[in-house]
This record gives sequence, structure tokens and C-alpha cells, in this order.
Amino acid sequence: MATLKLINGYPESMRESIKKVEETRAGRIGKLPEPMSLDARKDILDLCHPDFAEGGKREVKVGVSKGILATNEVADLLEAYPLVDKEDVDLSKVDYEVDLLVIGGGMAGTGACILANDNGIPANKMLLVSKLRHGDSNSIMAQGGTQAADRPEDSPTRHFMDALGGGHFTNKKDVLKALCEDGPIAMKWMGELGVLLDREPDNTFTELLGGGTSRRRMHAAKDYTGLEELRAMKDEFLSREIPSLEFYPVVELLSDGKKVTGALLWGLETHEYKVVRAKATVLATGGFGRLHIRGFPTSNHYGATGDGLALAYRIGAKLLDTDTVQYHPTGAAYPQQLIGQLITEKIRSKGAQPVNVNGETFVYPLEPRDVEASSFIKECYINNLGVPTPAGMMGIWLDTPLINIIHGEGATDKIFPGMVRMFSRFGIDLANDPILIFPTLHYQNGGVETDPECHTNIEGLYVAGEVTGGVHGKNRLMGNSTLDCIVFGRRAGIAAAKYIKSQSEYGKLSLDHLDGYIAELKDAGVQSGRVSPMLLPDYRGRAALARMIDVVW
Amino acid sequence: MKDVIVGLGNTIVSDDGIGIWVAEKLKADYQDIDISQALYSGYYLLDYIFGYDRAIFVDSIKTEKNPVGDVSLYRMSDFKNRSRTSIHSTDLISAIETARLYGMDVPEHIYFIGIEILDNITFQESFTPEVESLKESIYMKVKEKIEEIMEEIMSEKDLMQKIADSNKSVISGIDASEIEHWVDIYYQGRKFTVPAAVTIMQALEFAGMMLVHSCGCRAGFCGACATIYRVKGDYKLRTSMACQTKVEDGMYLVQIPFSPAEKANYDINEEKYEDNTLLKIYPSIARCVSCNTCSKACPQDIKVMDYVNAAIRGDYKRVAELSFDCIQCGLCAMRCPADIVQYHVGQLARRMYGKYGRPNVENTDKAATAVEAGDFNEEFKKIFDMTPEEVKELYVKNMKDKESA
Repeated sequence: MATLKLINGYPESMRESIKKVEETRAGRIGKLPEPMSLDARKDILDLCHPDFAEGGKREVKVGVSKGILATNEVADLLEAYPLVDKEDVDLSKVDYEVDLLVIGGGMAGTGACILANDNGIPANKMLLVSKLRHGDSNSIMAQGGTQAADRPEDSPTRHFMDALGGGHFTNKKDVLKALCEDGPIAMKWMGELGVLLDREPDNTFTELLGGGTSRRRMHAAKDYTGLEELRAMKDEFLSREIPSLEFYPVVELLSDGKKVTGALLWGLETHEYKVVRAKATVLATGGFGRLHIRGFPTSNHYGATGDGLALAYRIGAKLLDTDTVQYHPTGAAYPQQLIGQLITEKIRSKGAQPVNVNGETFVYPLEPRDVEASSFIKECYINNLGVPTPAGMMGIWLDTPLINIIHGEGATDKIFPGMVRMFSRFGIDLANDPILIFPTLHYQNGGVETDPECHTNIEGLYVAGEVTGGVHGKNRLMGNSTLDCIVFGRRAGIAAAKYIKSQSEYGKLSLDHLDGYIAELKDAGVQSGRVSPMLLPDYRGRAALARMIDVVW
Repeated sequence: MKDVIVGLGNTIVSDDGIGIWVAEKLKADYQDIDISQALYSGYYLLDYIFGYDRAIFVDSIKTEKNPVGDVSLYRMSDFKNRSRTSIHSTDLISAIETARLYGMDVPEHIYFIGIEILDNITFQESFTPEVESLKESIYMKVKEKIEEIMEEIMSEKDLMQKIADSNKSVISGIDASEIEHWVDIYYQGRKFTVPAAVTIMQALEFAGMMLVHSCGCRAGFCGACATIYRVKGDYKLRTSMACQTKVEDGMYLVQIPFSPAEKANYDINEEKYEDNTLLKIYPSIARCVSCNTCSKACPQDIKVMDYVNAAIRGDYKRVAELSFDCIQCGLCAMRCPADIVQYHVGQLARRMYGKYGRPNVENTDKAATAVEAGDFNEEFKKIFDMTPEEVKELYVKNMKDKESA
């Protein structure tokens, strides 16, 4: 069983390039390329960003936002037939009758439940449903931090301006204002929940600079920020005995013809359906990394298949900015087992520089993510100065040994325990050797249109977190997604609680809204085989798939 | 992909009409592309390109630097410094930029093909003799530029294709024909031959399993894919995360997607920050026999036993620090002979320490109070009232005044 010979995790071919990185290291400290002008940013995006490269998008042919541009993969999801035939389900037998239904077990959904409870909705009148386990989400994987303008040198307006520029001035301003203003409130709440965010010796928060931010305002919990925030929220959720139902994804929202009145669930293990009747519904289903837009690997969790987009769209909720996708500049490109997994931006905040095969810097390390990612793609595929891997990928070195040089021996282990552990499992010590990275599909910038109170254009339907569109415009800045989940999870819970109190009766349950949608699909010539939501991506080996048959017994 | 070519110019001022003439001729050669002719300039030209994905303008230019009949290709970025090369594009660039700013449906890709001419002042309906004699070669050169544009677009597609190809196995399942090295693993006792370089999770998928349980974040953060295994010939029971562990030859394994371990309910606001609170809520920690099995079972290499001991002493800070990297997979609790639910204890201790063990951050409390009092409303209003140009200026100004890392 011959295998490739590795020296501390890397093959000889890559070691040669590492030598060059080592040789240039001392000379690079403190010397960085200048940040780009707005024009230069636009040029590089036009040239190399997957959003702009030809052939990736099309106009959506059906639905309320008909004509909106979407990536092909998202358009496929929207131009698709329901999984369930409405004749097959009996909506007269209701399994759960609650005030509030929350769909999604990440930070936005969990927060919505807690705040609805704080605002007068009893725990036993709520239900949180999730496709995987409660907590298995993109939230829990967030590493870098949470932005909040809480220092005297900073202000929510400055945060707002940074995010607006990062989003290429396309953000929905009223929603972005809410995000930035609630930053300090969110951090205060984290403290009340007992979340352990990093502190300085004088007990102020440790706050770092992120890509495209003009002030240090990134609050982190080592490189386990999302994990620490969500596990404390989940602990609170469980202590309040709020009911949840795991492995029961929503396959269709229900409506009385005007407002959302509940949802149809489908058991992943049992394959039976369940009917939920609710006065208000919060959609917090997260993003779509597992659609692998343009064939990119992803940093997202297993369930990130954009289900919420399809569900909301079929019931008439408007979408925004479905043509843009965030590719995080630093996904792992080596070893093979880690491809696509996230290397936090905080590594660059702490001084690790991106360098090419010759050990040369070529870009300011903290450009907004889309700009940084594009410049990596350019260096690899246009300038041909990337580092080839044995698997045939190209990558850029992230010179991580600089972190200990700048911050002292042991700093890497202390600040990035998660990263150190991840690479050490494959024999790589990132305190001594650089790591190889390439952009990875990271975040769904667009989604369901919302306002500062998380309303959609459909009564009874609220949205929060990555499933929404508008707040980040066409590109999100680091640290604004966990903040988004906390802030709008809270706001959705508050708004839904208020709405619930105004509703004395439950609405009628029906799937009639599907009729019109199906008719539109047929008119547009969409073939009958295409269905959504996707629920789970399929990574089964091709040999096994080729022999797959459905057996009915 | 919807393309449009717009020929610009005025046929009654001599060579200025060359763009119109070229466009007319292009109609025969590019029947699947919309071709129009316009004698307008600036904002009026937007009507010709709205709704298209790609627009190419063909126009005359008079740089007086290049020989007459020369043809050049410009992109939007070439006009950054506004050194204008044509009276027609002077307004056009601003018009396009403004339209983009307001989110209007202008093409993503806009190109300008400029033809160097001699005379665009004299009123006459014919070209100058120089341009007249060169017009066929001008036409060929314009066509070359159009081909160049088409190729550029193709190479963008190729670039994306190359990236997609190199990731194929990660995104759409492994093709056995591409695998050189293999190992045998035993999943719940059944033998599967799988690629040697993959993780346990990827191996199970390669074997044809559609994972529902035991798969969450796929990156070592959620604890859903807790796995226990032995390797043939080795007595030791090992633990790992299936998404973070490479398969080994002779590995036999099973997954534990859920740990039956009861979490206590408490109101964190009511609990007292005292030495015995952890013991009171989780009395089972007193049963610890210091066997250290929990620490050995931890796939995160946490010193679990040490934090259990710290919990018995009521040392919240120590528990918080030692247990911080916990992903709550529950393997410690599954292996514990004293039936302690370590990971729940760690969670409670971290929250208690986070809430009571450190002083509040004054800055944050102050900022939150200021927001609640509406202190920033006026500043926000100012920004909301700004023109798009003013907003950009403010952004650039803020960026110049960036704090250092």
C-alpha cells in the first residue's frame, strides 16, 4: 500500500515552496501591500469573482420575484415542484398547535424562542423544529467573532458605514441600521447569558479588526465564537423547557390564502408527515453552502441546502440579492480531508499573511472578503503563482508562523485552539508551517426580503439570520453574521410575540397556494423531475449511486 | 446570455459616422446578437442597453496619438481617471455609473471599441478619403476585438470550470476509478473497502450511505459524528469525530449520534455564585473516582477529569478554562464509570463564570444605553439623507482613518 511520503504533513513538492516562504518571512514583517481603491476593488471583482464570471446566473422564471437574477443552483431550487402532493396529506388532523413555530436550530431560531418567551409566549406554546440536531448549524461553526460597536472610539454609524461599503452600497439601510445599533445590546445580552467572550487584562473585551472594518470591534471566544454563543443560548433554551423536534424538516409552509398559518413537517427517519398549526412562524433555516454554487467546496454544515428560500418563495415571500454568494477567501485547500473547511479571518487579523508560491505578498490581507477571495483566484489562475496540491488543486499560503513571531511563542495555541487541533490531526503544525488555502463557498448574501422587525411581505411569516436578504447587501463583512443571528433572532422573537397577542384565533390550514405555483412552473416549461427543498446533499460514492434502486415492499 | 452591440455616431459629420457604418455591416455577420445604431449620447444611450447582460459600444475616437484606422478596446475600468477619449463616452461612463448606483438593469459587462478617425467636424455625409480607404480593414479589426471579448468571457467560464473540476470529489461523490490506494474498514462489523485518503465520514458516504444521523457541521464543531472504534490487533478503544479522522486499515467502528445524559434545568439568574452550586445541581460529580477515562475519551483532548475536580471545589474559572473547547459530543459521559455528565457540568460552570465571575464591560453597557436612548438617530438621519456620492466619500474617509490591527 504505497502512499505519498509526507514531511510534517506536506509532500516534497509543497515543501520546496514552503522553503521560499521561510526565506522571505523576516523581510515581510510589517510590510504589506496597500489596500485597494474602490475602483481597483471593482476591477478585480469583475475579473475573478465567481459572482461576476460568465455563465453562473439566470433570471428566475416563476414566482413573486419573477425575473430576479439568481445563481443557477438557487434558480433550480426555486423553479422546482413541491416534494409533497397536497392530495396525500390530511391537514384536518393537527399534530402540534402552538402560538409560535420556529424553523431552524441555529442561533437565530434559538434566540427567537428565548425572546418570544421573555415577551410573554409560554414555553409550551412554542415549537422549534430542526432538520438535524438542534444546534447543528452554520452558527456553531462561526469562528472569527461578532462585530459590535461598543468602544468610545467607535459608533454604530461607523459600523453601519463599514458594512455599507463592504456590501458595495447595496444594503437595505433600515435593516442594516438595526443590526449595527443592536450590536452593543447583543453583547450585553451575551454577558447576561454567561457567554465567555475574550477579555483583556483590564477586563474590557478583546476587540480585533476584521476585513473591511475601520475600527476594532470583533468580539471573539478564541476561535470557537459561534460554538460558545450558541451552546449558552441552547442551554438557556433547554432550561426553559421549550419543546423542540429534531430531524423533522419543514417541507412546505401552510397558509389560509393570506397569511402563514403553520407548516408541514416530514420525519427524516420515520418518513411520515406531521402538521403544525401556529399563529406566527419564524423562518430561520440558514444558508445554502451545500448547493455548491459554481462547483465550489463549502465551509457550511451538512444541512445548508437553502430550504427556506424555496419554502418562503412558494408561499409568496419576496427575495433579494439572490445573485450574490460569499466566497470566504480562506477555506482549507490541503489536506484533501479538510477541503473547503473554514480558516477563520481572525488568523489574518492576527498577522498571518497570504503569500504565493514564491513566498511573496500580493494583496492587503484584510480587504473585504469578496475582494480578498478574487485576488487569490487571480494569483492562482491568472498569474499562475498558486501552489499546486497533489490532488490537483491550486492554493495560496497563509503564513501562520508569523503569529507567534508577532505575538510571542504559544500565541497560536492560545488564540486558535480549534485550528491547531484541526490541522494537527493531519500532521500539520500551523505554528511552524504555513497552511494552504483557497476560497470556499461561505455565505448566502441574499435571501428573503425583510424589514428591521423581521416581517416579510406575508403576514404571520417572520425571518431571521442567513435566510434573509438585504442587511448585508451584495457582500457581508466578517463578524456580521453571528451578530445578524443574535440581533434578528431577538427581534423576530419580539415581533412575533407581539403579533401573536393580536391574534385570537388560529388560521385555516391549506396547501392551495401550491396550485398557482405549479401552474406557473408548467407554463414556464419546468420539467416535472425537479423538486425542492433539497433537505440533504448527496455525497454517496458514484459506484454506489449507479446501482441504487428504490425497492417497495 | 443577451448581448447587444451599439454603433455610435453621426453620419453627417464625416468620419463620425464610422460606428454606424460598422454596426450596419455587423448585422450580417452576427445574426444572433442584437445590433443597434444611435446618434445620441450620455443618458439617452442607456435605453439601448437596459436588460442586456453584455453591451459593446462601437464609436469613433480622436486621440490624435494613434494612426487613423487604429482600433482599440476599452473597459469601464479604463475610464477611471476620466481621461476622455471620445465626446460620446464622456457622458456615457457617468450615465452607466449612475445607473448602476441606482440599481438599474445595466449590463454587467460593458466594452467600448474605439476607432481612430481624422475628422468629426466637417459637415459632409461621406468619410474622409483616409478613412474611406481603410474602412474594410477597420471593420476586420473591430471584428477581431469582438472575438477577443467573446474569448475573454469564455476564459472566465473555463476558469470557473477548472476550479469546479479540481473539487469534483468533494462536492459530488468520489469516483472509484480515480482512487489508487484503498483500505478496509468495518462499519458495525460489515466490511467496506474505501479510499485510503478520506475521513470516516467520507468513507461511509463513499460506501453508499446517505447520512441522516452522525453528521452535522462536517468540520469538528458540532459533535454530531462522535465515533468509537478499535483498530485490529490493538486492545484500546478509541474515540474521534468522523469528519476529522482519516480512515485506517482494519478500523472497526460505530457511531454515537446521541448521548442519553440528563441536563439539569436551572434559572441562571437565580443560581448563587457559590462554591457548592455545581455540586448542588450536579451531585453526581462527587462520585468521580479519578480514573481519567473521560479525559482519554475526549476527542478534543480536554482534561475532563481535571475540570470535574475543579467543579467539585467550586472553581468556576478553572472549569471554564479547561472545558472551553468542549463540543458536547457526550463521549466523556458515555465512558464514565461514575455516570457523571461532565459536558453538562462544564456548560453550567462556563455560564456561571461568564455571568458572575467577571465584571461587566462598562463600555458595552454604556453603548447599549446610548442606543436605547436613541443617541445615534440624528447621525443616522444625516447618513440616510446623503447623496450616493457623499456616502461613498464618507466611506473612503472612514477607511483612511482606520485603526491599526
